[in-house]
Amino acid sequence: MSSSLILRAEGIDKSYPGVHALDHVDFDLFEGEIHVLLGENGAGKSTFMKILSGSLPKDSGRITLRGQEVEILNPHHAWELGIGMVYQELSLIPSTSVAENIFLGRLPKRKPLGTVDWAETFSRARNILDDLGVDIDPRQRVRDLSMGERQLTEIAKALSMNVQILLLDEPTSALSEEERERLFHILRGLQEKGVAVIYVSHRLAEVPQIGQRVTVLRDGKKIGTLPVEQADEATLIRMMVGRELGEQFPKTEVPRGRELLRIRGLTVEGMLHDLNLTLHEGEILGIFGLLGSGRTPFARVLFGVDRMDSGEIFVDGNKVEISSPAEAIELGFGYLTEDRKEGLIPHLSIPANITLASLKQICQLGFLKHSEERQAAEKYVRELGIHTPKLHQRVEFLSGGNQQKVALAKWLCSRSKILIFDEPTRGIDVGAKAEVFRLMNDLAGQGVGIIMLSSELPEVLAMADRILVMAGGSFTAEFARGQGTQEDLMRYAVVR
Amino acid sequence: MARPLFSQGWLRRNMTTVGPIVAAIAIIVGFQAVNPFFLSHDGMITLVYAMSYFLIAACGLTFVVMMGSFDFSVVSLLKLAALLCVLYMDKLGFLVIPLALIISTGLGFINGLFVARFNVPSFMATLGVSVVVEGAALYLSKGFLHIIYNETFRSLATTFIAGLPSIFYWAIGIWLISTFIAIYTPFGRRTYAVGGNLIGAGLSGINVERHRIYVFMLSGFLAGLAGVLYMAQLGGGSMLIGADMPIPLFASVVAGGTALTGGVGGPHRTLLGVIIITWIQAGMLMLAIGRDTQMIVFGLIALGMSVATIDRKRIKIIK
Repeated sequence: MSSSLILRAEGIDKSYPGVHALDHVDFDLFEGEIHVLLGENGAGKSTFMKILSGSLPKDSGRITLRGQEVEILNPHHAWELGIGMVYQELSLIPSTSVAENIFLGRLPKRKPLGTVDWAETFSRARNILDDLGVDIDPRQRVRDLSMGERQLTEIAKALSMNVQILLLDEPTSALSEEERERLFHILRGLQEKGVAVIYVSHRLAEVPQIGQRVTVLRDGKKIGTLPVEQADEATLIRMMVGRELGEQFPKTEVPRGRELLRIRGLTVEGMLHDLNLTLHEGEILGIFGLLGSGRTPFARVLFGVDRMDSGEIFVDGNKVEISSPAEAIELGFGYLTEDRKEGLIPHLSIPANITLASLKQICQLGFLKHSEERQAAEKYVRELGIHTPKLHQRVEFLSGGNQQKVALAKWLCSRSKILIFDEPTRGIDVGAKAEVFRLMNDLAGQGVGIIMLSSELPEVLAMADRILVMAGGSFTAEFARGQGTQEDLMRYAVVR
Repeated sequence: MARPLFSQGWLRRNMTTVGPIVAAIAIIVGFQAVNPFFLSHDGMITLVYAMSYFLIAACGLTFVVMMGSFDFSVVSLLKLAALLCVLYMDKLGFLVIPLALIISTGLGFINGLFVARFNVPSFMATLGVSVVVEGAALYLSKGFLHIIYNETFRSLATTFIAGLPSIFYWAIGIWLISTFIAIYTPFGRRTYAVGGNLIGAGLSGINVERHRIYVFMLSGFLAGLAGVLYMAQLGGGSMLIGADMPIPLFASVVAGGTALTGGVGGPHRTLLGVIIITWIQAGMLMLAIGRDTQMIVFGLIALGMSVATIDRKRIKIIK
């Protein structure tokens, strides 16, 4: 490589309680290079990006920028150093215009009073967007933009600050095929101008399309860096997962029992369209969908958090109305949210969290029986293998995998027969993942019906008895176990 | 290997428990050293009168704070209930007591309705209700001082049992019941859950809207009860009832260790907070320290306690 080194990171280390998120990671980046950072969920990619962009402090390690050691203090400081980050969760303000977002905090001023020079704001935004080859009206409000257009607005914002290093965290997860092509085209254009890009992804197929080199992270460790010519899919998969998928997610066959749940024509105007499914005892039904496919809205409607406009739900053959989580729990539903923190009460102890959805069961004459609560908690801590220094530990101090188990214990305690897992392995390390899958298997074996919502192809393929693919709020395909390949599923998951 | 009795980590983790105890002891020892009247029998009666009505109101407020909300209307509801007693005792007799309690509970319901149903931030909703209540109290009392002559009513608070006035036993009883509710009932558990994570509480099947309304009703009820008993203690009053209460009241809840961020603490802690705050107040009065100095002291205590107990990790955005 003839161009010069722009960024080097050495021995970057970062730990959270219970998780070693980054274990002495080395990384380098050349001018005009697109360097793909590949890894599974929880491999440490996002943590690494956050350290480079100044939104997380590193525990130890050195970062050198053009040969000079730097301490990146905060996101603003990163911008000043020429490092711009485009976040996975976009950081735009929906209620303001594209131009305002691009120049947020640095709107052009007009003398003498320092009022905003709107004409200048819009014309400069227009220029930046034109340079990118993007056709977005700078006066448009961000909330009216598509996901892809928002992403491009973020990139325009980064470029408006003369960024030399652009960090993109899973930029294509919410994009359509066409938008993705356009993004790649734009990135190549930036590359020609000498901008270096770190491109985070867990999509193997994207690597040769966009990158020059690829670095693989696994469980917080750097596994290796390769030029893309040497990085065929088999090699990358081996580097990413380390072992065979079958070994990682051992699925036990469970005979399917009677019907637990039937959904007919579930519709939420403009979001979910005519969804139909059935779920049986002992069945793991995978619903595969990318970000924005409607997975989570579907789960929320089913659990009574949000309302549906039309459709029918049958539990055990009886038509039911679910208008609140309390009613859903009464009917035997349990919902493990995508963001675990959303479902748990971090300040409360393990027992208090476990019994929260079934307080009536541990009550006598309207008073909590702490002894029964402790017994119930002890039982689940033992059965699920929750690792904790003491029973009455606050759940905020547990690792992600153990928090997930507490969340699961809550639904076991409330005797759920239908469990909805939304991204059950998000943010937990590989060992804990295998354990969560083992528990899913055990539950299926006990006759629980499981709806597993996921954007992780290998996990859905390995775990589900049946897979529904979701895109744009509809089910687009159904595969029996062993029928579909990753490519098949992905084809139906991309919105056309 | 020998370990120090209190390691530094232990102290940091338990600061919200140790801090109030140390402060309370320091205050008692300090005032006693300067003024031996402080812990004499007459002094004790003064201290008990100062803290009792205060503790009842503070218990109600504690539930609201545990839930991560705030109730600015406590003092106004207390004032209204107290004035209702003195104004209508002649016409209604003892029926005025349930009337005052129903009205204050109802106003708590309105607080809860604005907060939980209409999603008005609790400080704004309760401030609004509080101003309306102040207006009503002014209208009813016409701004005059009113005296109550019914000795039976007054004996509710002023009967001496084992050397201490009955209002003290009311207060301790309410405190015990509040503590029991917080620890041993689903209601208490739900309050912690809603304060710790509103969304998570809802996803666990708690009817968050209804629960928040209940908590504001409890706060209103206890404010009313504190008002009734305070009036029995005072024997008369005007719009000035509770005038120097608001900041010390808020400070006492926080000083006990119930953080404004919600989800932690509880009424069991509020007793110490109330002792600290009301005894500083009473101690300063005994030393004839002026209201000016008192106001400055309590403002600073409220600020200091808020800084000490708030969980900065949880607050990402302050609006």
